[in-house]
Amino acid sequence: MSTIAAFYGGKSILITGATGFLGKVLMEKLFRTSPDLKVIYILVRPKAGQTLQQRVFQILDSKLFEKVKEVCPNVHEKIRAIYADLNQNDFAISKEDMQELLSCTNIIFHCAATVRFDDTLRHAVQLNVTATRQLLLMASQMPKLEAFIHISTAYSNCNLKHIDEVIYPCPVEPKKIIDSLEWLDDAIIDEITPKLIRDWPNIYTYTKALGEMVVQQESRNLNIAIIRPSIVGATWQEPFPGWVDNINGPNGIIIATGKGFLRAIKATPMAVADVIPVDTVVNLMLAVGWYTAVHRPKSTLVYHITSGNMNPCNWHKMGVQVLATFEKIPFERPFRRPNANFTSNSFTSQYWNAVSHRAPAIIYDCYLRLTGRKPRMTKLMNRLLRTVSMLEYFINRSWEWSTYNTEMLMSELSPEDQRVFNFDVRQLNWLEYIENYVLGVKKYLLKEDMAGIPKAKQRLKRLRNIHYLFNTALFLIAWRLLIARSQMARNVWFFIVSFCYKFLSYFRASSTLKV
Amino acid sequence: MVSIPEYYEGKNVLLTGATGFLGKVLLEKLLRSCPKVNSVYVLVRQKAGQTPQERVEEVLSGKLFDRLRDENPDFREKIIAINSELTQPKLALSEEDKEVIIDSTNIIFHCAATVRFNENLRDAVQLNVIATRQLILLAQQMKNLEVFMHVSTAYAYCNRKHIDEVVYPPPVDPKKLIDSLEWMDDGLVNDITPKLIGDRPNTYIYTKALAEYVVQQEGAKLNVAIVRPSIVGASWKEPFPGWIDNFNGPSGLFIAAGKGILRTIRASNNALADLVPVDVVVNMSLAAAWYSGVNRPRNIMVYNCTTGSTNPFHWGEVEYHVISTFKRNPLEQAFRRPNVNLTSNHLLYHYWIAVSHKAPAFLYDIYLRMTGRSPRMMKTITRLHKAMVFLEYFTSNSWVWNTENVNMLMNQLNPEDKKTFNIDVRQLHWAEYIENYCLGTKKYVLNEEMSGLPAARKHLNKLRNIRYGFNTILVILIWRIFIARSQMARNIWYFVVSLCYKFLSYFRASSTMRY
Repeated sequence: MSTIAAFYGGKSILITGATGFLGKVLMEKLFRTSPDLKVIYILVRPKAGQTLQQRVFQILDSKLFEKVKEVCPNVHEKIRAIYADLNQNDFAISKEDMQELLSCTNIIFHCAATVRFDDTLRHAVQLNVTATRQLLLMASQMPKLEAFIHISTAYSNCNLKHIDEVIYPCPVEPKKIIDSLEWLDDAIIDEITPKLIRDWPNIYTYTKALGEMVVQQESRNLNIAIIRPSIVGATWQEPFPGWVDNINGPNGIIIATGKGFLRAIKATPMAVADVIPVDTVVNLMLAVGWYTAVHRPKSTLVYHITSGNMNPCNWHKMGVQVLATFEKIPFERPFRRPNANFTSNSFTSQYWNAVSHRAPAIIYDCYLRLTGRKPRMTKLMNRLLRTVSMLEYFINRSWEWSTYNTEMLMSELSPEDQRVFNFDVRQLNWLEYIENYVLGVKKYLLKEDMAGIPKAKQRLKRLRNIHYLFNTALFLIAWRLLIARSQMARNVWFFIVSFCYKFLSYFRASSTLKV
Repeated sequence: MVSIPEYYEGKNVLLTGATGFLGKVLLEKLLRSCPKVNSVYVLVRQKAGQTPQERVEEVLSGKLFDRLRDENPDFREKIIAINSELTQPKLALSEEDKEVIIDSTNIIFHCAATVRFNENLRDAVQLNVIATRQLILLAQQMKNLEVFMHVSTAYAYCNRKHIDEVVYPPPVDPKKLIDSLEWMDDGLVNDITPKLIGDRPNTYIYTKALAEYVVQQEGAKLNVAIVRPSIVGASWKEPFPGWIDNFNGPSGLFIAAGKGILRTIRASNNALADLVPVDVVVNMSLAAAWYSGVNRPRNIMVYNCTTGSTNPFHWGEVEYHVISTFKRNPLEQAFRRPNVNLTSNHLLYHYWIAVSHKAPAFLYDIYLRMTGRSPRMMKTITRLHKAMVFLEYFTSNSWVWNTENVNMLMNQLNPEDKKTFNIDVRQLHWAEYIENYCLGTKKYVLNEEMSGLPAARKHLNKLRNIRYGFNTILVILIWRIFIARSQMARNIWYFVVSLCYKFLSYFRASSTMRY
């Protein structure tokens, strides 16, 4: 019997960000391993024409929850959706709902965050810092609260090379920034943002660092833990391999590459590709929740859940495997055949962007316009390139993460718990994982049927033929131009022609002789 | 109703900014016209090895106090110098001094402010806003305080066209700004300053607006009056006409014009030259404190101490009178003859700056270097241009001032006080005032004797002759060059020569005939 699973039985759990990728997998795991938990509160924003109950059913209708429905048929009764807006100062929660939350909650998992790298500083601070502070304030009024688990990111302090499981102090107090952003107007905020975030690569990582600082400062007498996942990827094992449901981060790049949109990416091939499966993160979260509540560590513990230091895989290996998987399992209706290069040189990267990305997009838009359709490829390509450039920082660098706390926690688990709540990435087989990842993108994100694979392969062949044809035509045109303009080319041509003629003459002579 | 001198009888006055232009004149006037005042506490900073007492003694030894020395030789006994640093927490007052001030003070005149227009925002906020706030906090502890008199500026809200005698809402909550400046580094502060200031011309104006709000908010329980002078110029009558002792504002420009260094200025001929004599400002301050002390009005009293609406005078007229005065009474060692061209056109302005300022300064520096002296004119010109940039805003714009409170105050004075504390600028004769102002810069700022006038006039004549000589040589040089290059010029020359020859021939013929 799993100790951790038993721990969550009968508990009331509050999850923020429950409609996000991580939040949903967390809920799924909880219901599957602890079907006798009392209730899960989720905070949802009001959506036009949808009741709270409809929102809950919409979440549960996903394939992700298929197994849960077998184990826990009345799962919909155990989810309590509450109207809330994390952008408001008091989350805009009604008095009755707030009363229920404050009096019943046992465990909080704070997963909500803006993951848009290009969000404005004001909005990112509101969601990643101010909302966190507000939630901690609520938590301090919960008499039955046993644990508060804050999901941060391994990249909160990616301005450092070696990152320990500690909270690093920020150059500026979060409270001061919150106060200043209240009254400074948007133009001023835009101007000072680069100076404020200094050597953080983007607003997201900077505000997550501030969020950690807030957690530390406002912890009072709460039992708090912080979890720092690296790049969260598809599931490894549970509920089934390869589950993904959003196009963020690596998922978008896999789609773009598989469809043939993306052909070159600026990356350091040997840099560590620190991807971590989402179910591994969730298992750690649940284990940490149990450990924090039961063992009550004296100070806030920080846990790194990364793969780089235990089971490293580099971008080169990952890229090769992704392309190999596309050979076996191609996507439907590709734009071009999947193929991609890593470039580490900035100039080369720009060259390939122009030649392999922008130019084909423009040509295709001309084709669409000629056939009376609406051109869309250039816009799509621009958006893709912008996304890729935001990820560039992370695919060109490596970090060293210390994982003592995570390893300590692993050793605290019973063998049964280690099996049920597995977060040991050393067992991860990357080739298998990546293949499942790509398959998952195809099945769950693009919702393509596996039965369509032969047709997709056929189409790839056709694209290859078109490619050959295009190249041949291009070559002929280029050669004709050269002949017309360059004396030397003409001489070469004449030489080749006369050489062939001589050869043919000789052959004919031989043939004549033989006859 | 008690008269103003009667009101000040036996009173203890606290004065900040006593070493400044306005503060000195106020101190002089108070002691001369209200001889029965009990004592004046003067807050003075220690400076370069000089104690506050020594600094005050130095001030009192100046020519400004000559008349007072004649009329009331014992006035020194009433002045008590107190060591204080307005930019330090709690004004850096010693406990003993603080006790004395809290127990004794009846009236506060807050004249201290940084008037450096290009002060960086942090320092301007420190002196103009934070110091004001600290002074008010101190005032709130005073047992016998009757009035808090704050000297602001008419231009605090010069982003408006029509300015009433009210405290307008501030551009930003001063407290929030102060909090933010605490944690922002200088680079950040410099970046956001232009956006914060917005349509105000400089940090001085911006921080004076904030200071008025602070006075209103924090001084709600005190009896507060605010006087808003426009551009403070030399004295009109008291203690004698034309008293001025600094290069700030118009004074520096007048001197530069008189020396012939300044030849062009960006200004609108028809813009109002809102100068106000320093003794008018002082009289109004003393009268305003009297009015608030005696009548204790329910609301804060604001007085626009300006001349534009009451006795308008224009920059074109100022220029005319300045130049004519300096031609009649020239400054010594003039660089060129006084002559100034006002222009509001951007391109023309830059043309004249290059031709009339930079080029001559450059040539003169070459001359100085050739004669073994250190070049300084270019530096002087550069500094002058900086000052001009700051004044440009005021020489190109006009405002409409509401002066109802000033009129009301005037009517409240009895005939004797009306004469002794004259604030009626309608009687001001501008031509005479400007003449006295210019003579004042000559006598009191440059310390030139009037007996040197004949020599100075001789120098001007010499300069005129040099200019004629220079121009003649220039014409000859240009002509020679033309002769050498232009056929048409040569033809003209030959024509002129032949014409002269014919004339001479005729004359000779006539002479011969007569003979």
